[in-house]
Amino acid sequence: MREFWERFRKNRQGVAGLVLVGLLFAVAAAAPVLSRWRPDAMDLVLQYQPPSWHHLLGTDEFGRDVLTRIFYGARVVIGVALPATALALGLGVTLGLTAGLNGGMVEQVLMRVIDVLLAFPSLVLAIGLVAAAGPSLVNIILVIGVTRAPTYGRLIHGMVLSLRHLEFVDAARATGATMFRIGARHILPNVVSPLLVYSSLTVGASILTISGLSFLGIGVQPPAADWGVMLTRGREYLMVAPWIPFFPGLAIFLTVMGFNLLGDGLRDALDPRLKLMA
Amino acid sequence: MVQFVARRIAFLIPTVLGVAFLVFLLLHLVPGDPVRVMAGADVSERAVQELRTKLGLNRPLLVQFGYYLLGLLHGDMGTSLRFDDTVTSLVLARFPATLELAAVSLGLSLAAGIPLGVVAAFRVRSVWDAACTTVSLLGAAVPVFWLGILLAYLFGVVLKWLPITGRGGPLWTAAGWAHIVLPAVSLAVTQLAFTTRLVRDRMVEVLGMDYVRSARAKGLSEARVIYHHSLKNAMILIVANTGLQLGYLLGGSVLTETVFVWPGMGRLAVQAISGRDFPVVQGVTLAFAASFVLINMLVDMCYMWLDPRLRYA
Amino acid sequence: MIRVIALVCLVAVSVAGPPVRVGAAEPGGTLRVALTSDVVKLDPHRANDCFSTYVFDEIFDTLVALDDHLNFVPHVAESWQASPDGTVWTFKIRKGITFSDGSPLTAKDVAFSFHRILDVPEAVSGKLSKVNMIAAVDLVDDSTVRFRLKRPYAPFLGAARQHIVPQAVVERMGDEAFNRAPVGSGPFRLRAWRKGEQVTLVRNDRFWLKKPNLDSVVFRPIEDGTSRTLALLAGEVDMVDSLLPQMIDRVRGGGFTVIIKPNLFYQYLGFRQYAPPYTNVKFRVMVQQAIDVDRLVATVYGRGGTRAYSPVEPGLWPRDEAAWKAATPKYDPARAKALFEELIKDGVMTKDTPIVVHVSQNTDTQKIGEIVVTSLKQIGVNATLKVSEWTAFLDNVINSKDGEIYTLGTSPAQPDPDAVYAWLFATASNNGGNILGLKAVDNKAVDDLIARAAATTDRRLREQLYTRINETVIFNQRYHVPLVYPNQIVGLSAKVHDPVPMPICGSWMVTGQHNTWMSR
Repeated sequence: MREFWERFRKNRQGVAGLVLVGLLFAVAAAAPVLSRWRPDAMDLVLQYQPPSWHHLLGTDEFGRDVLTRIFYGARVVIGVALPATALALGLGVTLGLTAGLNGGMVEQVLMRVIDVLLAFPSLVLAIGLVAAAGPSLVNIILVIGVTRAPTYGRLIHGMVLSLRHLEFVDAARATGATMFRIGARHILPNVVSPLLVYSSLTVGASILTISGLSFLGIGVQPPAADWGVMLTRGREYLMVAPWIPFFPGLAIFLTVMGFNLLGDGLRDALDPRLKLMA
Repeated sequence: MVQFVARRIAFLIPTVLGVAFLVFLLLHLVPGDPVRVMAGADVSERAVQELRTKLGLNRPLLVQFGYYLLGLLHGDMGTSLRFDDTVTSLVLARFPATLELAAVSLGLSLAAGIPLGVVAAFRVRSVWDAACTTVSLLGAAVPVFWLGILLAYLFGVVLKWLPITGRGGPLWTAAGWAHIVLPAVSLAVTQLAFTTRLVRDRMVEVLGMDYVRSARAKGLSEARVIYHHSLKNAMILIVANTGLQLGYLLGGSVLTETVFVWPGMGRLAVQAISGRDFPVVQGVTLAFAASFVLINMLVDMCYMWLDPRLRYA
Repeated sequence: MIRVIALVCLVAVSVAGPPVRVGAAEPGGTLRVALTSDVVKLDPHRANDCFSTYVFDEIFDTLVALDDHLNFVPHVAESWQASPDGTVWTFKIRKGITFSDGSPLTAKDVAFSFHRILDVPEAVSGKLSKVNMIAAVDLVDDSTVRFRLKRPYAPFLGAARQHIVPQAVVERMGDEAFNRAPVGSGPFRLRAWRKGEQVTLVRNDRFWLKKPNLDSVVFRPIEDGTSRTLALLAGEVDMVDSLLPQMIDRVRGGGFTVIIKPNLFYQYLGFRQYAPPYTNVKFRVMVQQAIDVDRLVATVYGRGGTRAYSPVEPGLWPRDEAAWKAATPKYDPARAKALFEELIKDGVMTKDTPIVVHVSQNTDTQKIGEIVVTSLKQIGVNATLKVSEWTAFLDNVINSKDGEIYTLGTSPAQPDPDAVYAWLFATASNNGGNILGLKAVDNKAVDDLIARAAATTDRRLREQLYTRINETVIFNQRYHVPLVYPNQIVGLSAKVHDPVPMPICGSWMVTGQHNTWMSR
């Protein structure tokens, strides 16, 4: 662990990523302290105010403070992108482990399921699911989780294949350990680092997906202070009040960059020779 | 090899069937009656029922799916509910545009990503390495539609250098190229980090191997080392991942196509879903899925051909 | 663009036209038009969407037409006559009109065209509900067609404004092929149609009214509002059907023309009459007083909309803005709060009763929803916003029986108050009966008034009846909070001259008064 930290610290990009991600959490936690406005407090007289001392990043079309909404938007990022990644991870690991450890028919069926999900165009799946179930936060988490899960499933399956004939797994099997036990005790510890790296990248990608869903009108629904919503709505003001789309765009950029740098840094620190997984 | 291809094709069928069933199920869960959309808001519910019966949309789901599969066997993907046109002709009209955009994007991301990766690998853990990997990550951190809008504004409106809407024609025409530049660049940038990372990591790994070290020690020129030993090795990995990447580009083009009014399948899918044109949604999804599976099969075949060891694995 | 629920082409008032350039029109050139959505059908009798109308209006002529001031003027019919009781209408067909294939247009084609709308199932015919008062179409002779109506129907000219198709061609080709290769007598004819992508029209040299200046017109769908604006600014299209209001100054500043055109379009907040508290008049007044409608209109529409006090759009009759304004409760959050407390005391609702504001997924309606919810929350009401994708929204409000507040935009199918009130407030219509939910309450008095007003040709009496209906539904029952008459904001390059101010669905390049042309 200490060795890992030493290696990580030397990686300037990784540290920068960690700082950015830390900042995201700090801002989300301290949002009410950092701003004297409420994120949904409209002031229809003060529309389109450019950045000033009063409103550091200006106001939007409803006279809401852009900076305040960015602060609160950090909560949506954490509340959607992280659970979505966790869900993808959970589903994918379960699928991959079950397939890899069972082998035979179960493996064949599960891997075909994964193939189907991989082959399904993810945005079409997302649009369909959201149209079917309505655009709520929970459904967005589900959509991202389901569309990202097969990649994890494949990843884990591949790793299990490379591990399942190793001695320590055979030994465990010989002692009559259950599948679940073998998975939890012997396989997972060996795949934790790639999963950690990949999850960090997935969080970044999920943030982009959320904003893409907003662009198609099926993302987080207004009036929630969500960066994707702010950016998509704000793009209509690009040429007249550029601060409305610019700052949410910047927030998304920095956060995704943060998670990607962190992921890269972790990868280098955990195993300098770790191959890229996708 | 023959056996391999046969097995892959055997896998292809359940995959495509699975996709067909999944999209069928999904669409029937979607609220918003396609027949109501066809008929209009001022038509009575009774008349809507009649039309539903006429279209066979009141039959049980599995029966409808059965008929759909039967049609597929005859190469018939059904008829669009909105346009008086077959799904096959609508999809075929859009397919080349999407494929073209995905292919050019892939080409661009490789053309930029490979050099970045090579430089990063040769100066590993230096400022150069950091610069190359960071640059490649920049594109992956911007929502693709936002990048598209900014590019369209800058190059289309401010500088007036490039066209920003539609497809100009086939790629062997100048107009064709001019129109594809902006959408392809904005899509390629999202894949840049992936390629760069792949090349860099693989080359770092190979460069650390004994035979490369000895090649260097023997005084082989740097260029030869790069090319013969490490880059070639990394290329195999790139080819292996092309399928996944193309799959991503095919599916991920929905947003880019909307921003740049690109007449591809992604935009067709969005139009069809909001118009509840279910046969078209099914057709587009199947086309996406089938091309994904086929491309991956071709890629795996190339991969085996490049790396003979795998043929016996 | 505002989603239009009335699905036939509507008509508009031309007030703010662009300056017409003095000097000779230059013939030739291609006009490239960007539309908000794709063109679905070119068969005018089977289409029921707005954007298809833009295109087939150029390909076909209508029996009667509208001028710039919304008056019905002769077109294919050179004159007409109504029987004194208003049940028999006789149209004299103009001689010398030919379809673009060279065959002559006769009364036979007119009768055939109406039969083509009337004689098919309701859900297949795109226009049946607009002409279902017709009992019989008689072909009197080669140049005379007579319509017998089931009941006296004063606004029949609006219903008679249907497109005329060539009988011989349609019968030879069949419906499906005719939709793909339509033949009409209008100023342009179809050259090419790539579905969902582009429709190209070329000049019809056989057009009988005048020679169109334009060589060709190209229509393309550009769904995204930002992309549409950028395409105009980059010079890739010459005209866009709708611009975002905040872009008006930016576009004008770039040397482009922006026409802000009043439409026959009305956006309102409705209360679905299925459950309390939505059925309670005091509740509805409370909602009205909680919202600063003037600010809402300014925020969401900017210069792209005019505050509405009644469903009757400017350009229609009978209008009495001053009286309506006086009868509209003022924005008064303190008073709204007091009403809220009264409602709680009366047992109509509790402090926590969830109030749903249901909107469709469209930037404008979502913004309306956000402001309404925020305003209601400010007086302590537990309001939530429910957003549904447009199709799901439509399905839900037609078929469900949920009490809720909703917002919809609507246009009358013809420039006549009957089209406004019958659609919005008659129990028999989908909008009045199902969406507003009037079938759940006693609406007989309003139904009777609407039927009486349509049955008489006496304009004075009709005005009186519509004024009474308006008082009942808006100022006594307060079924609606009228919000805004959204304008259409059309963007044009400086090269385009003499464009016809567009009705909401449809843009006419060549009419009696206009002939669009482009300078080099």
